[in-house]
Amino acid sequence: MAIGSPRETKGHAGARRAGQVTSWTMPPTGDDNSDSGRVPVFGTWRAIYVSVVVANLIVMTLIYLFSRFSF
Amino acid sequence: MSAIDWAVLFVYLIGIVALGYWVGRNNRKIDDFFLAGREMPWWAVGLSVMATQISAITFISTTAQAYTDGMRFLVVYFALPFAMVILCVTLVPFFYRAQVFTAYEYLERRFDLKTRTLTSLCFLLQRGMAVGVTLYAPSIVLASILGLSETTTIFMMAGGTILYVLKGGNRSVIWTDVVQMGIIWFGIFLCLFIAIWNLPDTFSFRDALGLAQANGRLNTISLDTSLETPYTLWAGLIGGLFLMLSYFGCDQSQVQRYLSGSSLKESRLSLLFNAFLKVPMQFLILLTGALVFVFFHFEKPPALFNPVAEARLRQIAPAELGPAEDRYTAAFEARKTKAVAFAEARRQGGEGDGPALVAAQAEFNAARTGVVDVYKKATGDAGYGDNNYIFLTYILNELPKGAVGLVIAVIFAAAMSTLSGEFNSLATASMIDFVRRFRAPGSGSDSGDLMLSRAFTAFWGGFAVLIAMQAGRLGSAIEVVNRFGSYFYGSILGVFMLAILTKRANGTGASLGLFIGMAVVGTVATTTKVHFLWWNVVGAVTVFVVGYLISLATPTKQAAA
Repeated sequence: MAIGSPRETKGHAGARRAGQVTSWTMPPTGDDNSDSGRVPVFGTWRAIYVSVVVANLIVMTLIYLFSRFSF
Repeated sequence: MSAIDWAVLFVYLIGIVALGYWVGRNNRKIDDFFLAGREMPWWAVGLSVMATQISAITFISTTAQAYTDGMRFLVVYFALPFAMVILCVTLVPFFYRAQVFTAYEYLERRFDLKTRTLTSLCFLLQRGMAVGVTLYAPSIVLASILGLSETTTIFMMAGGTILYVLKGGNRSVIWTDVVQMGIIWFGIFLCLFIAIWNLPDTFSFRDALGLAQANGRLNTISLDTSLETPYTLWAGLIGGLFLMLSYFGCDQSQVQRYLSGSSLKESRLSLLFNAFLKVPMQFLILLTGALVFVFFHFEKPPALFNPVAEARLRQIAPAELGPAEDRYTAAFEARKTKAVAFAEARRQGGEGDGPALVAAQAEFNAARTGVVDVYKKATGDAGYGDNNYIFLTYILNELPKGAVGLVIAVIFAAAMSTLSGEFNSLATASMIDFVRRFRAPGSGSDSGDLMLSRAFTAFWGGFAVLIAMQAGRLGSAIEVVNRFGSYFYGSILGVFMLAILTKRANGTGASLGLFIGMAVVGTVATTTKVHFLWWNVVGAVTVFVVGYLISLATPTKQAAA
């Protein structure tokens, strides 16, 4: 049986053949979802995600005020 | 264009091809060719993601959108940062840990071969035709504006791109994207600066914003709840979220960019980099369009922005054109007078007569429509439209020598950065999801695979050129394929949602769900006036619900003990 990726391991191929749901095909949880090493500037992934969301909310608010401001 | 502008353009073209060729000179295996050896830094991948997303036609039509309608288009990007965070938490770790080449490869591991093959085939069909349009749309505008043939502009854009992608694969794509994105950012600031600089001395930047605002050109956020109203805040936040999740999470042309990161951290950071910059960038592009609108209050714009159409009209219907053009000139002068009075009133402490400006604009629009109608009647070209010529007309007529060539280079850079990513991703899906997947185990070698990957790159590049050159004749067929692409976007996201959000879903449910999802989106698109951003929601939700129900009704293979 041909293997889709040269990096695919025996275990992966086996899982694929069986069409089964294994832990690695499901959403990672906890530490599995983090990468090793410190996130630049923000420190943690949680901090950077929160920063992205907050920054976007601020940008949207500023754009709204820009479009409503009486020039 | 002047000689110095042509020189700037050719320096760019030669330089970018040389750079792409040089950085990609050491490819030995398809890991290098398709994923740049998985060693790219986040900032390079981030710029490449951004460059792949911004095409030439996006650049010139977005400014035109602000010129004609205002800045509402910006809401499409409001959900992009949220989508990036969701992808960083969900799909990106999946793809990265599975060490896949394509997004669809993951679906075989989660579901089965048919789901992978079906989704990859849909991608090849849709993206293969779309890349032809990506090439054709700016080519026809640039040909008309620069006085070249369409074939020449098609080859100028595609020829150089094919050359360096053929040599260096994804490594060349990413490093040339970095330079191209730098040029694009510089071009955005240059255009904005010149748009402000070109305002009359008696007209301040604040006056310009006031005039644009009075005419609705700064309108950004509409709270209208109708599903048929284009670009409402809700369509942007909800429909746009599904669109961005699908484009950045399930479209190989984007997935392949961030799979080239040297670690999961680099891949995530590349997307978050876009999350911070994309909305401000689109805002600046749209603001430039709004300022071009203000500028043309003081400098008479051509009634037809397509110079070829205008020359043709003067030749075939001068008698009919005369009165329509007289009305257009009178409307322009009246509008200019109102604009000057508007600024004068503000200088004296008043607010300016906004309603008078709006009325003058309405008459100006009617007068321009009159000229367009004369053209349509004289030529029989009922579908004539020239919004995509507005920004380039401004560039060619109002920018100083050298800057014109640079901004035209920006348009080329935007086109080439998108084309390069698409050629490379199409070759990847062809090679990985079909050739390597279906050939006999153990056959093939690194050098043979590399050669075949280059052959696929050449094939898809040639295919894009062929489609672009025949696009005028293929018209309706291309529209059908692009429409099919719109049906596909939300639906494929539904397949990935089934993959990661449920344990019970199986390949049969995902595959049948995909077909049914596209059929439902097609029905909504053809029988209702629901705005296209909502189609993504309809597709994703339908596939998820239908796919899950089918999965419940069909047996799932049990995990081996």
